[in-house]
Amino acid sequence: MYFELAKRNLKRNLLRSILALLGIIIGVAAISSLGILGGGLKQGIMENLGSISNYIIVFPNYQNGYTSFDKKDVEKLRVLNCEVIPIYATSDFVYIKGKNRRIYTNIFGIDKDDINYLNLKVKISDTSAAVDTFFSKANEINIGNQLVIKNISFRVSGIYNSTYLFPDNSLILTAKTYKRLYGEKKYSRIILYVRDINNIDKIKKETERILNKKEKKCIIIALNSILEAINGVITKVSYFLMGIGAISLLVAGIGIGNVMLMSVVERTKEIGVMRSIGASKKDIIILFLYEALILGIIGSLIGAFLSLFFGYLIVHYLLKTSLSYYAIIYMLIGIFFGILTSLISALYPAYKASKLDPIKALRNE
Amino acid sequence: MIKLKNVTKTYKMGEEIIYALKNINLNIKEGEFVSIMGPSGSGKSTMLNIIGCLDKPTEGEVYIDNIKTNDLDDDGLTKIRRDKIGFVFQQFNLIPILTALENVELPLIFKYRNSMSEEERRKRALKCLKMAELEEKFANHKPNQLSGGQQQRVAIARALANNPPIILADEPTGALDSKTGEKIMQLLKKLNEEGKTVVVVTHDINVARFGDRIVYLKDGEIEREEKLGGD
Repeated sequence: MYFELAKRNLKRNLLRSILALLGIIIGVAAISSLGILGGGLKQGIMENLGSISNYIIVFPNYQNGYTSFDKKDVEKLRVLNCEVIPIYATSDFVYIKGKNRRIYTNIFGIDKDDINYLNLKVKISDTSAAVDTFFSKANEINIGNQLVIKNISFRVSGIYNSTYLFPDNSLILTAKTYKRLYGEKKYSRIILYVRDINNIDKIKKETERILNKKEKKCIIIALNSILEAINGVITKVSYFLMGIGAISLLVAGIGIGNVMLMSVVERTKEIGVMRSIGASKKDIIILFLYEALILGIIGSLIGAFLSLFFGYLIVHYLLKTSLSYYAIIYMLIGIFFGILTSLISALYPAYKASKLDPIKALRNE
Repeated sequence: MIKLKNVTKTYKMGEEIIYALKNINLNIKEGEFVSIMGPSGSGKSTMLNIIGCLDKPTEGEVYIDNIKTNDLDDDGLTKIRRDKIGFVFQQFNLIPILTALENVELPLIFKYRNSMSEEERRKRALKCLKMAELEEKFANHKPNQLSGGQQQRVAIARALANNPPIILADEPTGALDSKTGEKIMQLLKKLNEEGKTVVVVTHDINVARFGDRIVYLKDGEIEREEKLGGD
């Protein structure tokens, strides 16, 4: 009944209620969509860099005279709860067919099955090669072009984003092809792919224990710590953006407070009547808070769904990524603050209404 | 049922102290029908407000149903208003956004919150409308769809909702034509005969005559009392 009463009171001055509602809608939409923008930024960076956070790279320790790993080292690491990906690496000239150009490039050899773990989104066979985006752009190479290494032709079958794992100006062959070209039996580095990011530290320590038992044979680098630092910065930017959105919600709150105060003045006599027929101060407060709650809930829900729409536009057209679960989190944050703002801004008007002297209120026309 | 003992009410207007009520002593027994008469400014509304626990006296003691109300806080006074007193106003003072039935339900909501089922609440409210002799077909009408007499009946039904022993009416016929006014007074008389203690404030002698007793107020003091009828 309180709810019913509040609902009808809001309907009584529909235009005013709608204007108050509009404030909340805009405020919540601003907070949520700016939140979604921040989330989209974060996701965009995760998509570019996040793929490296599941990896640990093991380099030989050149300072102690180690320059490569052998099969035994690799086998020792196989006991760990991760994929062990040994990498061949060298540098050589690559001749680009049709362009009459020779490029000195980093060349990697990776087992055909292991490539899937590296999230490069490329497929290579024993007669093809993948190149990174830098190499592709610098040499105007596309999928299907022909490269020649050591007088053997390879078709370019994939282009991957250069990362810390495989830097700019690099090229990947299958391990089999690599061995045919260079005959090498030793690996220049080992990549460990850890499915669960939470295990990174544990596996890093175990690797240390296995390989660096007697002396420091290798250097082990986990990439997640770098990512965490970047994430931290973006989170702060996100909060800052949402803070700007919060200003519009604050204005909306003032609007609701204003509407409620007007409502208290207009309904002074009714408040007096209610008090005289047995409404306590608390009842009056509850009545006004219900009105604010209804405005808050309706406004926040509409605002949150609008933010989904704006968020989609921003994320899709500006950041060129896609919306995902985080959008819902920011919608919930928006809804929470929308309702909270409505309630807080109704507190003073409700308190004022409850404080009215019933006699004076009854006399009011 | 109602007892005022040496009740004085003063207002300050600047430096001046104005006496709204001066040393009033009044005893209203259970089941009595008392009319309070006086010209405007005689303090009769102040007296009704004090009896109705909307106002507190500056001096003196007020007892409602043997409860001394001077010492009660706001919540205590609210409970007395809710449980012991039914108010009837000159301008009916119905809540315009609620139907007749919902207006009657309102005091029940304030008293029972959710501990009374909706069904039971409706039943009680309908019973009160019946007691106030409003036809059931008007139960779902909004106040602005009802005539003045019908609205006052709804207001009386609302006053009866929590089954209080006392009904306080402030110029209950003031906004009605004389014929309708008379019917409303007959209704109050009937409720009085059924056991309610009724106090009516009026400046209309024809209204006042419905009482067992008329108390004349002048300048905040009881000028005289007049017993009526065969009691």
